[in-house]
Amino acid sequence: MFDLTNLSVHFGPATALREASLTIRPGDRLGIVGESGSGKSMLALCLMGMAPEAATLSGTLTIDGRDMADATERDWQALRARRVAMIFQEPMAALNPLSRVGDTVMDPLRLHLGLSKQAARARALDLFAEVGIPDPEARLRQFPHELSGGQRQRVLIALALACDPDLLIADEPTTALDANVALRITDLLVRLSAERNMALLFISHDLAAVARATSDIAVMYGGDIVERGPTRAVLDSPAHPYTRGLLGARPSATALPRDAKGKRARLPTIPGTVPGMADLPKGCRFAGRCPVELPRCASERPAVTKPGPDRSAICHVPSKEALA
Amino acid sequence: MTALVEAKSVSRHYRMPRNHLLRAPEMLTAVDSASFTLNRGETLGVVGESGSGKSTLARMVMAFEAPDSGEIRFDGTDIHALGASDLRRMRQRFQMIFQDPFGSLDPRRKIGWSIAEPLRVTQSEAPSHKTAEALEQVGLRAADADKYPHEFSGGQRQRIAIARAIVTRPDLIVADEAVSALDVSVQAQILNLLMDLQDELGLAMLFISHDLAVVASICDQLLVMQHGKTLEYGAATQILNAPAHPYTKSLLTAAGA
Ligand SMILES: Nc1ncnc2c1ncn2[C@@H]1O[C@H](COP(=O)(O)OP(=O)(O)OP(=O)(O)O)[C@@H](O)[C@H]1O
Ligand SMILES: Nc1ncnc2c1ncn2[C@@H]1O[C@H](COP(=O)(O)OP(=O)(O)O)[C@@H](O)[C@H]1O
Ligand code: SF4
Ligand SMILES: [Mg+2]
Ligand SMILES: [Mg+2]
Repeated sequence: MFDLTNLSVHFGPATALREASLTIRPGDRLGIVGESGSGKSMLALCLMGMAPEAATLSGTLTIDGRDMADATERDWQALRARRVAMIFQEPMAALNPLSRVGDTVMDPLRLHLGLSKQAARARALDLFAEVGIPDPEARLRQFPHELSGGQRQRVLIALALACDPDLLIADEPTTALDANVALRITDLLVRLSAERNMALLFISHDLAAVARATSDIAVMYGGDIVERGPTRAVLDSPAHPYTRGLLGARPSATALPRDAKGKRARLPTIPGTVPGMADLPKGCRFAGRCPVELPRCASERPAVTKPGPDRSAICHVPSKEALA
Repeated sequence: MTALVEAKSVSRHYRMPRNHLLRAPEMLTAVDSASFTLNRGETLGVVGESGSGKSTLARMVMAFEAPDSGEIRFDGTDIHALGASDLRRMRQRFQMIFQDPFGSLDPRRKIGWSIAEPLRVTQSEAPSHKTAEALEQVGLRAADADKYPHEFSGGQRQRIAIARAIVTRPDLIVADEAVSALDVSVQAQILNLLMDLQDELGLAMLFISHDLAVVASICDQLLVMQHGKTLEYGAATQILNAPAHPYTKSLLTAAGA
């Protein structure tokens, strides 16, 4: 069990994460959504003991009751080898260009699980088949540059699953995949989570994938967890204005033809961009971009409201639908 | 008027690793006889599952790679028959935007330098007003030219990549998964920007994405690929409203349409 309480991450005067609290139990499937730079990856890195050197951390992280404040790099390495695995966001950066992808997956199987060469190969083949890599036998012997973007992503997923982790952190695992493969991968992760009682932290901006993969969701913006709750409830009736904006910006797969003048309809957007970490408003981080902002929002930090059972949002103006 | 891009039965094969020492290596057909025409000011969307040959097709349209058979005409000229210097000159007219805005910008160079790069192919001194103009067209400021890539967010870096692609005033932009790595809200902003630029500059776009919802919002024509083969090709509205192939139907269902 992973327990984060009031975890903050600072880089000098800048805040990357502000008082985040989370509990992850075996078999939990938690989604994290939010714009780039909102702190999703930072949260994940903290859970792996991999926060950057330059970061100042405060708050507590306990794993199975043990306070990790005094954990050494060796403790973390032991934990990472067997218990926590992460699918990293950039498949090209995470794969060794000089190593055949089969070896990349087989090495940890031999090293950490002590499998023989044949056994590791058989397991790697199974994993490749399981994540839907076509022609797995031949692909084992290919190099990363010989695979398509989506195939590389699936090699990383196979690698993360290889040692049967207790917690799998998947950082944007389906972003490079088409809808069919994305469905298959999310379904695979859900199934593994159920079969092995593996906890899943699913980080994504793909709301459809998060809806399918997770039972609970945390929405992040500017280093804050701005909304939390059961995935269905939050996506069906979002309470936080940022969550509503995120849902509205998603294009739908219906054709949008040009009008009589040959013009195309524009997509709804959240105006502006996420400010830099150092320029975030002191109060609500979303102030300045929020369509329903009040004068006090930029300076006064909103309190937690409870828009529904097991739900929370931090906003001065929680939505009426959600309150009803 | 001739079409801007015309691809005729374009194919590309790759050698797979040998399964057996004594057997000839198998060939993989990454793109199998693809044909399409793309007119000025229009957008052709290419969708298909991962590994279906979309990026390979894009690389051939950009003349980064030659087809094993078939031809690709750009404004009437077979680009794969051009000599190196003619191709270099022709290249000013088609530019590419890649998925990874990190990989495509040199971290040690100010972004103004990177944006002007396509101009330096034919002129040694790139005029700075062109860089400034391109930056403003993608919603950044001319003064941003003096900053480095790490000072920008992912979405802003993608705007910079687009600025570089339009700086030569090309007729065609090939966008390979150009918005896939971006969050939905930034994605919508970038798609709107591409539509604005198309209106303003009369650009044609070859827009590659595995995401049908993204393609639906921006494309006139659609080409659906699977295992290198073209399953459907035609008007986007037609294909999205009445998909003929079960694979397209399954993509639509999976995309939650
Ligand atoms: N340099 C290469 N050597 C060998 N095979 C290759 C090479 N480049 C591509 N391939 C193969 O060609 C096929 C098509 O790849 P391509 O990159 O065009 O797919 P894609 O449709 O862009 O997929 P994705 O959506 O995953 O990016 C894949 O099976 C891939 O492994
Ligand atoms: N090594 C680092 N040094 C300084 N700032 C960093 C570092 N890594 C991440 N950050 C900053 O921390 C914030 C959160 O980043 P991240 O967790 O990667 O966001 P996300 O995954 O949601 O896109 C961002 O503002 C990012 O720029
Ligand atoms: S606190 Fe204010 S600015 Fe923040 S989301 Fe709520 S209404 Fe908008
Ligand atoms: Mg991230
Ligand atoms: Mg590709």
